[in-house]
Amino acid sequence: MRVLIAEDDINIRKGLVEILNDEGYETLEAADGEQALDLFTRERPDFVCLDIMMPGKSGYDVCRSIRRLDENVPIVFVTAKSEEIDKVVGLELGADDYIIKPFGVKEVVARIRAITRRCFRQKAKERDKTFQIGDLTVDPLELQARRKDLLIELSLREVKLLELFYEKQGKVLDRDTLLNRCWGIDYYPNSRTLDQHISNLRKKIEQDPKNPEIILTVHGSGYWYRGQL
Amino acid sequence: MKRASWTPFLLILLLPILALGWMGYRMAQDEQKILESRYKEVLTERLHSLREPIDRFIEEREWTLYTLLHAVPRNRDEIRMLMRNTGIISQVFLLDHQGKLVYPSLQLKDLSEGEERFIHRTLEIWQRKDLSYYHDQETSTLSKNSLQKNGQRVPPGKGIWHPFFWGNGLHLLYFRRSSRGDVLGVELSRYRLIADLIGELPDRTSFHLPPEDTRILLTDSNGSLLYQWGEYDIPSNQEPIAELSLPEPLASWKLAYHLRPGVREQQIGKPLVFSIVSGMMMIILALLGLALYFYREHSRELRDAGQKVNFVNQVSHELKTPLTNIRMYAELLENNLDEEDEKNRRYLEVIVTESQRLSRLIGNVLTFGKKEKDKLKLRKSPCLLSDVISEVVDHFRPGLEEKGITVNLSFCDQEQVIADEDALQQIIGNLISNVEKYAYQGGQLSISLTRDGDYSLITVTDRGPGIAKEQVKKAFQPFCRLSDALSEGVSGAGIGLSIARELARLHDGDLILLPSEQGAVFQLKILTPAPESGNWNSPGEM
Repeated sequence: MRVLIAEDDINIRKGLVEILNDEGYETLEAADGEQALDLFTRERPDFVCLDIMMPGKSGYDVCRSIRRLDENVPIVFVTAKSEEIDKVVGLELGADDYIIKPFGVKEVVARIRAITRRCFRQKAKERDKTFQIGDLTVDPLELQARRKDLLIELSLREVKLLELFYEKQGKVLDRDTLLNRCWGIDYYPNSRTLDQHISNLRKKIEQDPKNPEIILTVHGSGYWYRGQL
Repeated sequence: MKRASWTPFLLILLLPILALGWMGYRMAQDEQKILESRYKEVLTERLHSLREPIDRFIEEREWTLYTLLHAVPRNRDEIRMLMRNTGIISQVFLLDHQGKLVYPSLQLKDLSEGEERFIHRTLEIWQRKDLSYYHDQETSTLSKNSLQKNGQRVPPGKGIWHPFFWGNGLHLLYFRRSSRGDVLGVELSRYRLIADLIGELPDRTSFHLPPEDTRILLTDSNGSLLYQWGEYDIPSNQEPIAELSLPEPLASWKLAYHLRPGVREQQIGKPLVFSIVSGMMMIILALLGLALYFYREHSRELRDAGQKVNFVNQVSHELKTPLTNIRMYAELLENNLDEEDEKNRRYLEVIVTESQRLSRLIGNVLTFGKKEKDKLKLRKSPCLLSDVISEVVDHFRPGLEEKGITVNLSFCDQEQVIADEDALQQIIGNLISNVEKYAYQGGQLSISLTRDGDYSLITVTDRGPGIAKEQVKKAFQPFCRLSDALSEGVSGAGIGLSIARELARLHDGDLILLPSEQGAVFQLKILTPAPESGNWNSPGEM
């Protein structure tokens, strides 16, 4: 999924890029409203993260212009003032959600995942149906996994990883394959990124993360899922 | 300015203007009347100038009559001769000391027609003995000076006029009383009097106005025209501008001054009205200027106040951007740390916690700013109160643990309710922050959640020093901090409880301090209807 991030403060923009990349999204960056509109027109991302107070065109204007081009693309506003949300909602600009500054990583992640679920539901395909991995039932559309009554929230990237492991069950997946499939060929994460994500994923889905049963390590080669026994 | 405040402002502005306008109008009216009166006086003066020859004529005539009556005829023949020689009199009469007419008298033989008519005309006068009324009075127009007129000394005993009306108008008797009480008098010839009078009048008069605009009439007691000046054609119903009666004994005759309509107004009206109106306009302009000045001052004050609040909002808004970065990057860094790196993890926790504290403070300042500007609004949505409370507690947990405060949470069974999550977080955050700052010695913080119909009760209890009863009201006031012993060394602006209570009241509830033997017990009561109730769409407003 590709997300357009329009934010004039470079640090906030880069921070959002970092968070969303970690989550498994491709990101497009715009530093002002004109650039945002131009990028949207050319690239047609899957959803938009829009700051309200930007130089040149404001977030409101960009939102209106985007809506003329696409009625359905999810738009999340980023704002420091809560009353602007009333304006956004009251004027029915078509925003789907909002994030109020100052926000933490968790808030951004929660909002983005909620948007993603909505997107997936809209674009549901056959292959997006739930699948079983280990004792987990993974629901790609909802970015969730369930073990009996336990509900586990997953990021997009984590879902991609599980989907790949499920698809290639019984096969060892080397680092390049995992990175190319789940991060993209053009993305060059550092050497620890994959390990960090696998570690985080294990903490979520493994009953004993130190002794994993679903995602297993093959030292020197990569990782694999042995499949349903 | 709010609309409502326009009404008193307009009243304050309009009432003096209306009052001044009314006063100005009355002044103009009074001034107009004064001018009309003066104008009338001026015209009356002109009539006086016309009357002067009439005054002289009457005085002359009286003098002639007076000297005429000085010689008393001895018999009837002498009387008749006197009448023939003096055309100004139509009859001589004689009364005895008892006021009885002895000449002409019906007892006399051979009365002439004139004598008979005289008797007939004057019968009532003699019967009523009207002339005896003058016994101690005089109507003589002769002044003291005239007693010495022309170097002649007038014998003592003055003449008296007696006007009476008969037939076609005024008739005049003039008589003198002898020392014995007898009365010798004459009746003036009316026609000769009028003719001689008119002969004394000027042919023309200086009108000071075009003759076609004026006319002066001399009329008798019946209103019949005796003489006139000017060419103005008087309409039938027009009243004269000025009138002047002739002197005694012709007081029933008068001079009347008529003017063409508009001439008087032309002479006196406009300049004064103009000056009064222009004066009023200047006063009104001055008042409007004053009103405008006050309005601008008021607007400037409102603008300044708004700018101050906007400044607060702008500054708070500007603070949120770097704060966002601090928090976001601290959490990103935290996520990238090795699990074993406890020290750096702790450092980051401090950064995150402090940035959250700063965020709460900015939130409080912003809320306070909006409250002062009457723009505080709620945005309600379905939420689980236990989740809201837990989230806030989680934010404070590191700081509370560091200060040795144990947290106990107690939640009743609950479902989603309608409330403003952010506002509730702010309220609970302020309460917990106060515990952290002022009540940490108690070592305990308890938060309980119960339901009471559509209301939710959140009770925050600590075991700190508590708040004295007399200080409770003060505690909720903005910028008010309790005793120095309690707040010394503790940071804070003193607006947390004030904001918390306002937000509670916006939820149709309240925040109160319950009596407690130990520590402080704050109870937050808010209206939290179920989502199905359907009555949550409109946010609460101040």
